Amino acid sequence: MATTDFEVNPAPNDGVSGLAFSSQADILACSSWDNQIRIYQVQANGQTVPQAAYSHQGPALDVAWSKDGTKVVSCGADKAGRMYDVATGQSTQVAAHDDTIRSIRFLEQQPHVMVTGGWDKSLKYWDTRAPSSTPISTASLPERLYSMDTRQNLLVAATANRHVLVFDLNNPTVPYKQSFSPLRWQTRTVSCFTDGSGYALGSIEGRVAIQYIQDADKDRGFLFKSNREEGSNTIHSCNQVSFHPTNPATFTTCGSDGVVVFWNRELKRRNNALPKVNGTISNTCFNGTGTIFAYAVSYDWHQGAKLHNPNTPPRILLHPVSTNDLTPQPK
Amino acid sequence: MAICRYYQQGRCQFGSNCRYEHIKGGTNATAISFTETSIRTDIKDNRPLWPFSVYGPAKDEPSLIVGTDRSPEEDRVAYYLGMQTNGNNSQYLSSLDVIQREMDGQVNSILNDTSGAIKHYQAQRSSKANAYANTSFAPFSSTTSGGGAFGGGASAFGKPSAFGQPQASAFGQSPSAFGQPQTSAFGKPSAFGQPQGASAFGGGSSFGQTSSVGATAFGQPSALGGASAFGQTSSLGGASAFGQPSALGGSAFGQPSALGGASAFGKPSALGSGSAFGQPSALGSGSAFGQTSALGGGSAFGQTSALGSGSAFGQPSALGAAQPSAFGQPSALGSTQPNAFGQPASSVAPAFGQPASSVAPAFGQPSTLGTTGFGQSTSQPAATTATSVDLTDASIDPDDLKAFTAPTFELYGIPECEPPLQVR
Repeated sequence: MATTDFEVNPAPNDGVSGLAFSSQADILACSSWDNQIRIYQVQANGQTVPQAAYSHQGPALDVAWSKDGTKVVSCGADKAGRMYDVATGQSTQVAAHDDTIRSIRFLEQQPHVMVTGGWDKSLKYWDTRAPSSTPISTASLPERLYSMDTRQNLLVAATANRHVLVFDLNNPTVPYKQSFSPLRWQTRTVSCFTDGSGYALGSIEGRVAIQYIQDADKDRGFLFKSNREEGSNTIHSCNQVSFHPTNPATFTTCGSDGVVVFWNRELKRRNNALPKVNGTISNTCFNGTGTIFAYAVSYDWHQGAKLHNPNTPPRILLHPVSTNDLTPQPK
Repeated sequence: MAICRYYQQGRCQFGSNCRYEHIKGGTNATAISFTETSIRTDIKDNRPLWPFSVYGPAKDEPSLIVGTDRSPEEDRVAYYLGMQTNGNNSQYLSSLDVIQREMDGQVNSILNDTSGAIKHYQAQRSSKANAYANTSFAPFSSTTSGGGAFGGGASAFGKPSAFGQPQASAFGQSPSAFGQPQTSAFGKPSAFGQPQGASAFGGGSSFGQTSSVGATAFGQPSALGGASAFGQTSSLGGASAFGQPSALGGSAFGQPSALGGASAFGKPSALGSGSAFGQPSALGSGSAFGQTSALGGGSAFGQTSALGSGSAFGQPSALGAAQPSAFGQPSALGSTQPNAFGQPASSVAPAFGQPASSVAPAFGQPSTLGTTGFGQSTSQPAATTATSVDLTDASIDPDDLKAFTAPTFELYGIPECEPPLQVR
């Protein structure tokens, strides 16, 4: 890692599955395979102070914040979605599926509505003001949800068998568009542009597809190899794409090659790469102002159980975003 | 005379010297964007490290290898479940075996008869039209003469997770295998809430109420603040705020309750009574993170995006209270301090370690002034091209400068941008 990066302490006891910063303050939430959601306050000097933690009854697979920074929601293999209230310190169950819930988000345009997606092939919407075991609506998916993201009016769900479903949240249960992924192998992650005008898909083949929603913008879309090493034919997975919150063209990729790269999607250029870490990078996220970039050096399971070492805890690192990260390299 | 297959694929190297007929069109030059060769290369030479995946031969095309998607998360959950249920990985390994065989079977069938596979694929593609949008094709298998009764994604590895509740609906219905039924916020007995035994959240158990998470782990502003950024790691290591590193080493899903035992969260919550969380802006009041900034507008990189001017779907959002996009106007959030990057960074280490001489204010103290370590342009070591950024840059827009004087984004509280620069 870059020696200027700060380590979050204490790290979870098992792999990291999700990272999310509050948009209102530099508070970082982390979901882990050890069932816990941990919340840390990041101080100006780089120190992190643990603030709180709560549990699921099985591995937690995703975590997200409400827009106003007062709630944290999480989901996991216990088929439950939980919400943690920052002010009261209480956590409650707010969602349920018939199988593992893989992803959870708040809707930006409907601050009290949360959406969950699971291996039970459904997307469910919940009103957090009136927690109920029944969602306010449900969208059926053709396959198990593998990744989901939402910004503005856009929600994109990527499922098994390379299905990609785009939803206009004005009509949240009927896909606006459904297609097969432009990538050839299993979809690993989807992430929406901050303005909701498009999204990025990452796959196990270490490629990313940038796609625009409007037909008029179709030609701005492109594919590229995000995780290939020079002179190597090893096909690493792209695990997460994160968009910079205030610099819309800048985004990052990370993967099983242990490298984070900053890119510019307008210019289709690479900005900067962080030094390769010894390990795989499972998750990344920016803070609300784009000055901090968090990344988890955590085994992403890309080679199954055989490389799993429970005695090697994950690490979460905080990188101060630099000008290099935001500036495309000259051609 | 035989027809030259390579010519039909547009890649015959012999040209007019070719001994075969060069006739365009034909069944081997198949679909638009893939060929026998491209498929063979993909599935034989360029296999991703993660083995259990469907495969589509080209952009936006349905999958040719089907029913073999098992994500790393699914695999990991299967492993953890198997370990928990059986104490060993035999169940996991046998599930791996099933999918490995399926994967190998389809890959080998396609390699052995690529053109047959393509025909099989094309037939389904043209016959089913949109019907395949929600399902998948039948897998190609040279042994089962195509069209196997394999069907969609239902597979041995799609098992429902045995974590948590086995059922669907009502929260807190059936008792969990994992803990005692306890009441939940919904008033029904629930296994959700506290994991077995001692509350991980300190204080009393949450019978009859939702769990309350304990306090700021250390109960006081970090004593860590005063020293180097890494100065206190050892004390953290010892008395982990999250309880002991635990038993989690062995069983994957350890004992959440073990955390409760010696948890620092046993203290009365300071969260409720006005911790940093209670005041959402505690960090933000005048912090470098620009909560109060009226910067909004464009970023330093000059993007005047029409973000937020409407839904990507071409209509104004009717959702909620037509909230303007955070990007459409000066946002409390969107304060772009990228300009902080335009300022030379003095080397990081000394700055955080001790009050560096060049910096007057607030080092090493938990500062709300935003003498943030994160506002600086650091040093990505000069491995990146020298041309990319000129950090001695005094060409910061005066506007931005002004905007930044209040919440100080400058490194370490350096009021102006000057001092030398990055490289460490």
